[in-house]
Amino acid sequence: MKHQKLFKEITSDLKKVEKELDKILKVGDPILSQTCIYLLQAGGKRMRPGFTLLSGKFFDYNFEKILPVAMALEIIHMATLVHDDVVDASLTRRGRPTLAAGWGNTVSIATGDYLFAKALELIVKIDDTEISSILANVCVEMCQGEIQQIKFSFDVQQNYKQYYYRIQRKTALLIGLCCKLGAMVSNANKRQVWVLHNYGHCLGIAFQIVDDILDISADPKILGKPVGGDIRQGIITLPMIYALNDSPNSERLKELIGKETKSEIEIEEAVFLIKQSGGIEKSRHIVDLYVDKAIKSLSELPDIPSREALVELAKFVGERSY
Amino acid sequence: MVAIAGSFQSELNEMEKVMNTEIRFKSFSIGDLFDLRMNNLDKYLCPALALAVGNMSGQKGKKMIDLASIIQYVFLAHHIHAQVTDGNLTDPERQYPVLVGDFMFGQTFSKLCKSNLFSYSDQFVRLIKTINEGIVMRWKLKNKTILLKDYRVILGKERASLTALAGKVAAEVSGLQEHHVKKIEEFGYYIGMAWAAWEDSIYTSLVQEYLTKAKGTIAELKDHIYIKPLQELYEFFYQEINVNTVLAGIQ
Repeated sequence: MKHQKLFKEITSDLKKVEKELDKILKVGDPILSQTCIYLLQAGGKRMRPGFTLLSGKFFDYNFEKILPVAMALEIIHMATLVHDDVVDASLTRRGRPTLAAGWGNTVSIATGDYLFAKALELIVKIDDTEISSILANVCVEMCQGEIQQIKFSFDVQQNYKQYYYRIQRKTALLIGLCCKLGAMVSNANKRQVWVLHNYGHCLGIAFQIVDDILDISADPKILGKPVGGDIRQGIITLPMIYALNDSPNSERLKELIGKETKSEIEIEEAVFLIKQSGGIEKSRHIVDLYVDKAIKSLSELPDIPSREALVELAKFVGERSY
Repeated sequence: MVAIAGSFQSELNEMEKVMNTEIRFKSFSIGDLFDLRMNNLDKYLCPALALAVGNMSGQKGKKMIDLASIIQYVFLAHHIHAQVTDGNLTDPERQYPVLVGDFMFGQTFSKLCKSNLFSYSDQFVRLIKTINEGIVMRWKLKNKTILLKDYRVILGKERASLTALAGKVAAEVSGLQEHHVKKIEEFGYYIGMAWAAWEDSIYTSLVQEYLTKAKGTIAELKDHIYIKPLQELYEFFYQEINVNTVLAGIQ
């Protein structure tokens, strides 16, 4: 996979992160151990620890010091995914049954909470109130974003501002945090921390918009799930907002998207109308702007291989098809 | 607002006020999202325990109120997540409790960092792990007859671990002597066991057993420290469970 090549500078450290995650998630309780390891084995791009490690490389990189942060961020990501699957009642993720499908809601929720505690355990050990506080606030804001998303699902009156509020919290905050904490634990100065945080934040926004585009336009075989999931769940995304505003068929689209129960034919029709409206292209343009902004913010940092890797990662996020 | 007793009512009111401002999601509150079922014990017992312990040594004010709200956030997180059962739930019944419960966990940790209580974080982290071990243990035994010995472990992990920690940390923050801290932790544990056993009504004899133990602990502390707030808390608890009449005649 291309993104793995992008992490080549930190491949061996990422392997160590993986090994440590495996060790730390084999916990005392046999069921929790089983569920945590099941989640870990589901894989994932491990982009969050990757961003943390690469951000640290610009400064006083100390693997032992940055390791718990990288692990904690990946564990928080895992916890949010397992809870998201309960929220969405998803039966599969990355081609495998979700925890909710295999063990039910109770165990899924308990596993997510347990993972959250494991992540905090790692962060608390660093004994830095500022880092802990930043992480805690991001966790609170992420939940606020998700709540907002559900509260306003099927609401076709949503505007760009509300959309950005949601995706910042849903995705950008955590990626921004990965870069920020990687820099902080590596003794970067305030400006450098800001630069990397800004890079991660912009990239996070781009990442989410790409996700929203792929949900409408990807090849379902590559994506690993059927298209139109957001339409089905009433999650109003950027391509939809463009289409709702600009399409000559916006009234029909409003009717389709606003319906809480839709047939597959109606979902296909909505997908067709969104594609026809030019909403995908306009959203792509926004992705390019954020990717450019992310890349430009790196120009203040030294020209080392990590910078090149972050630039390539930004391009990868903008161009990815899965 | 429920009236518990005299000595720490005003701090409890203050804590509730602060939490109401902290638990908001842009323009809406929890009540706008889903039906949060709470009785008076759910609303007040955990924070009241911390505040009562603070009052025993004259520790009032912001730090104790912060601690009380942290403990209540942990309780709320699990209480809300417990609404997400394995049965058939509608989307709002399932979605909001998951996310609002997560929000409460975030608030727990955020407040620990902000309120000069960060040094207690590791104890809260252990607590969250313990509670979830209890939840999973109960899940494992569902549809089976739970032996009393296993049942005690489940209640201890799920609930008494929280009330024990509430008492312990409050006593530590209040600067009480170590052996008194231990006794108050025990008291918290017994109250938590009685509370959980009363809620479940599987082995009702446990309610009486642990209430007697809690009373015994108060008696042991009586000659050494000021215990009126703890007695008030006990009375509040007793009254609340008695309202249900299940346990008439326990004392």
